[in-house]
Amino acid sequence: MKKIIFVGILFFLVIFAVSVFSGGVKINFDDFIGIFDKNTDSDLIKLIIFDVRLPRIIMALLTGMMLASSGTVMQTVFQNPLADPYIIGISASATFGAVIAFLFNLPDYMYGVLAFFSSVAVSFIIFNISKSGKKTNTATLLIVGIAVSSFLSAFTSFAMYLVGEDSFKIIMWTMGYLGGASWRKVILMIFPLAVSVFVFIMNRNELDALLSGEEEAHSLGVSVEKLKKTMLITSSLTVAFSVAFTGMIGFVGLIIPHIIRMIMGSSNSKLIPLSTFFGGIFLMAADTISRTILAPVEIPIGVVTSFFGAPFFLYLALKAKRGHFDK
Amino acid sequence: MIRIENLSFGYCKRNILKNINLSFKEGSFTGILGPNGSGKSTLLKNILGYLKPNSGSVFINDENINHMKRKEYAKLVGFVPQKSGFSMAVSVEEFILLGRIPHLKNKWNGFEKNDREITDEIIKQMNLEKFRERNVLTLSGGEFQRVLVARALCQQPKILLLDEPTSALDLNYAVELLGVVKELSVYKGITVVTVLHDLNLASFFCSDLVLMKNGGVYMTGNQNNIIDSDVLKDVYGFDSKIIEDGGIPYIIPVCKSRGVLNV
Repeated sequence: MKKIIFVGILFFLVIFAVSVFSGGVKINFDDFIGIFDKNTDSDLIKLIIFDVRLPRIIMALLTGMMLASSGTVMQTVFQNPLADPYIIGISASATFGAVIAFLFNLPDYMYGVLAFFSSVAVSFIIFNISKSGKKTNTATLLIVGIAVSSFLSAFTSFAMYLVGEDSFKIIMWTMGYLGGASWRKVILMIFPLAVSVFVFIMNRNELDALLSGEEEAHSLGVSVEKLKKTMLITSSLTVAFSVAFTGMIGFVGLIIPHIIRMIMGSSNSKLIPLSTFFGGIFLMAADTISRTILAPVEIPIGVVTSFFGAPFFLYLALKAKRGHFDK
Repeated sequence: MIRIENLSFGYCKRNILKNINLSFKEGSFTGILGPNGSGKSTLLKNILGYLKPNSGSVFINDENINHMKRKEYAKLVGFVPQKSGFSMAVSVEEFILLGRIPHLKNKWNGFEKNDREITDEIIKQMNLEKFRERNVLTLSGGEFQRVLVARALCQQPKILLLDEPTSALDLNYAVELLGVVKELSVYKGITVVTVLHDLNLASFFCSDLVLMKNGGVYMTGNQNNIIDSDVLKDVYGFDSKIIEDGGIPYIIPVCKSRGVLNV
């Protein structure tokens, strides 16, 4: 446990540093030192670092934390290792809500609020469809996910044509974009993240019990229905706010919890905090790649995560087909 | 200890349990027997509160279980399934510790020293020390069942419900597991209610028996009146011979040739 936290902090520091110094405008170490030197004219550098890069890096970190923590919890609620908010259609429904808020010219925090309502609604639909069996059937989950995503993306695309010139913003939502980062958004994202992670950690032992299936969790004194609903609403909250401000970024909630499980086992006491932490680091790295690989052109961050995530998803799906949940 | 009054249960319009009245004495070891589909497991799940009866009630110490908080109920009643649905990698110790969930004082702080001590004690008692760090998914069926009993014991229950706990085990593990449960019943006064398939194991271990047929209670009693050729013929529809050893009746099924086999 100590080892993995140490490795995490090391990753975090390295990626953070690389991220600050890289991007469209090259900043070298001398420029950086110049910030602290009153005689050097460093306003531009200051502006780039403090108003452009730092909020962006922190937003990447927060988004990654949100997606990975909610992915971890959804996998337990659905008792399925493939339950990632992106794959099962919850991200698409959050986009739908955010796009509606955008169409009606609502203030930006309402993007998150509407995204929250639409994603809660959809996650309950998915939950009820898959409730009949004891474990959520992978095929059902994926089919529902595809159907919901396609339907809502169709609406989003329709909205793009409706809006015409401003559609860049909508494209940004569907592919993931961190360029619009600001301190204000960072603050708007911190609250839902903090609330959710608190609720997740609070219920870690009951989530462990849920891994045995509903009947056993029930016999261990867990109010299964209530727990599942609380967890779904809370995960929807984080996903909604991450999607509202950064768009649909796929597979983070799939890759990170899975890797942590392989290393540390599945006990949620370790899994939730570690997934959250490493999810943040992963997205910070992905963002750095997205804005440096074709610099000065930036590619959407969703492209980077899907590039890693989709093959990983295929690997997991094939493994699950053989009946293994984990290991 | 446990009292079931006029309990009926069904999915949609199909009645699975019809007007069940039963009671289980404190410290008794009761086996619920009956053919497939007679409603044994459904009855157990109603006692567990996992299924809610359409009419009638289950009382524990004269309190209706529907009026009890889940946590309070789980402090009284432990449950061992036929086979755990658990499919994630955690250590045996972490798994058994889950039995302490109903006793959690503060969800944020999680398990406390006291919970870990009780878990330790039960790990020793159940002879699971060498498995402590093992991933539960690598255990054999018999080992996993023992871990499940240990988890239920961590709840410090007064009642243990078991749903065909031995059906996936070979005879050696089955006898061992029921032996452990029997000891708990005799030495700790835990009331045991278990669904069993194997009539001979039931006859050997149980102090009381309930025989079910078509969703109703056909007969209650003990091995002396239930392990009987005529009774079993009527309920299961097969012919048998009863032999006795140490005052306990055992059943030997008689296979009649139907002209297919030349015996």
